[in-house]
This record gives sequence, C-alpha cells and structure tokens, in this order.
Amino acid sequence: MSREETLLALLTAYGGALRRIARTYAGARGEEEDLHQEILLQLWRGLASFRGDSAPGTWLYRVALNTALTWRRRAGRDARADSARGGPPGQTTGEPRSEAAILEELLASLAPIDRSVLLLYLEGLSYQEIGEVTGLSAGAVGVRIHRIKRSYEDRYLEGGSR
Amino acid sequence: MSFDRLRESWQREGPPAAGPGPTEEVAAVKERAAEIDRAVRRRDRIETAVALALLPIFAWVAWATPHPVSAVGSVILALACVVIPVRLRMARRRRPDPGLPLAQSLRAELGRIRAQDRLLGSVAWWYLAPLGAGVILFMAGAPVAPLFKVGYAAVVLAFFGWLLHLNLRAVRRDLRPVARELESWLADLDEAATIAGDADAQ
Repeated sequence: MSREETLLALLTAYGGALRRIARTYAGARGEEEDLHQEILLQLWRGLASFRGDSAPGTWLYRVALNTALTWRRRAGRDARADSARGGPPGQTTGEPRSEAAILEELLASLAPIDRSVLLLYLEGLSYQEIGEVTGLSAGAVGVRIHRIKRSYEDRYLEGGSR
Repeated sequence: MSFDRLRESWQREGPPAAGPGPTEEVAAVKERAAEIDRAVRRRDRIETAVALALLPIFAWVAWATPHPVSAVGSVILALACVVIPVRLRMARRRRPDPGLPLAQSLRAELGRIRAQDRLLGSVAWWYLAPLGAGVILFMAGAPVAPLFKVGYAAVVLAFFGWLLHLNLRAVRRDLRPVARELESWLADLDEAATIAGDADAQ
C-alpha cells in the first residue's frame, strides 16, 4: 500500500478522532483547523518511516497527541485557551449545560497528560491500548482514569462520589 | 450523565459534514508538505550559496594579503563559512519521531530542548567569538587609521554582544520554561507509574 493509500485509509477510519483531538488541544476556535492540518502533516511525514511496529491506530494516536502537546507547549496556549473558555472548571452559571460543554470543561480542567489519557478513554481505547499510546502501564492508566472519574463525579454529579 | 456515558456522547461528535473528505485532505497535506520541503530546500541552498561565495573570497584574501593579522582574520572567517552552516544544519535535523509513545516522545523532546539550550548557551564560543574575532582581525591588519580600527572593533563588539544577549535571552525566556514544563509532565507520568506499581504490589 502506498503512503497516500495508507493515509487515506487512516483518515477514513480515524477522521472523527483527529478532529476531536484537534478541537480538544486547539487554543482558540480559529486554531482548531491549524492544529488539524499540523497533525495531518505529521502523519504524512511520519508514514515515511512507519515500519508497523505498532498497530496503525496506536501509531496515529501517538502522532496526533504528540503533535497536539507540542502545539500547546510551543505557544503557551494552555492559559489563553482556559481563559477563553470562560471561568474556572466546574463553574456553574445556573443554566443546564450540554454534554458536550461538560466534556469540554472537564477536558480543559485536566493537566495535559491526564487530558490525553481521558481523551483516549473517550475514544474507546482499552487501558492496555492507552498504555501503548502513552507509554504508561495499563495499571497506571487505570489509576488515572479512576482519579478523573472521581473528580468528575464530585464535580458534576449530585451527591458526589458513588 | 454517568462517567461511562461520556464515551458515547464524545464519539457521537464526528467530523464536520461540510468539511473536505479524506481524499481531499490527503491531496492537500501532500501539497503542503511539498511546499514546506521546497521552502526548507530553498533556505538551505541560500545558506550554502552565501557560504560558498564568501569562502573563496576570504581564502584568497588570506593568501594574498601582506598583513599577517588580516590573514589570520580571513582564515577564521573562511573556516566559519564551513563550520557554522554545517552546525546549524545538524542542529535542525534533530527531530524526535512523532510516532513514539507520549512518555518517550516527551523525553526525546526534552533532550532536544536541552541540546538547543547547550547550543545557544555556547553560541559565544562556536559562533560569535570566532566570527567576531575574524571580523575584527580582518580589519585590524588593514592599512587604515588606528582610530578607525578602534571604532570599528567597538561597533563589532557591541553588535556581537547584542547578538549574545538575544541568544541568552531566548534560552532564558523560551527554552528553559519549556524544559521545566516537560520535566513536570514527565514527573507526572513517573508519579502515575509509581502509584500503579504500588497498587500492583499490594
């Protein structure tokens, strides 16, 4: 399969995931498309040296997250993005929030590594697969997910942890 | 909404319906990659062309000048025409593989940032000092008024001092905060691994 065909197959299978990753890590709305383009560029370049040591999906998530983390770090976008999202995480305005808004807020409230772990969990990856993408053990991924889950329940569900 | 239902909600959000399809995206990214490669090749060619144009000039001056001090300056400048572009090009090549696991990629990136820190931190020795010395010596041996030589040396020193200040400021303002941030992320990863290890051991 040529590089072009491989990328096409990856985009067909994971196009939605790449968009969601770009949206999660983009500092401001206008940057989402730029980050998406950067991820595609890194995938294209990376495919030239991809030897199939890992599953294509695992490799794609690695490239996408590494690119997104570098993107955020380079321009110090975290602070600006969080302030642009309006107020500290968990702040309530009295109006019911959509699931998407809660998810966005939850992700924005997390440190970059936890954000990556949660994002992969939301994408439907198993702890083992998340470990392969991040370099953490499945146990370490489980610990993180458990912590995030507790924090989510304390913050968003009435009555706190259950 | 329960935590487990978050997954379903998350995955319902697909790519925008109006956006380009995968085929168009592949074509666009290929074109963009080719454009970037062309720009990089152009920059490298210009750097090489300038170095290749200056090298024989300084080499000729070193050979032809009757003033030994100017000859030494010319030799230094001729050597700089080779060493500096090669060093810059080698430094640009150090890019971590984007397909590494996050933890490994962060370590590789930290290594790259530290290498850049060392490169810029030592810029006085491998770039500014030899180039500055060459430029000053080149003129020091020339048959011009001593006062002019002193003024010229002062201007060159001030200019290279300013360049040194800019480089050290870039290290302080840009590289060190990034290195600290990467170190904190790696510490975060190590902490999680330790906690998981403890939990497994119990």
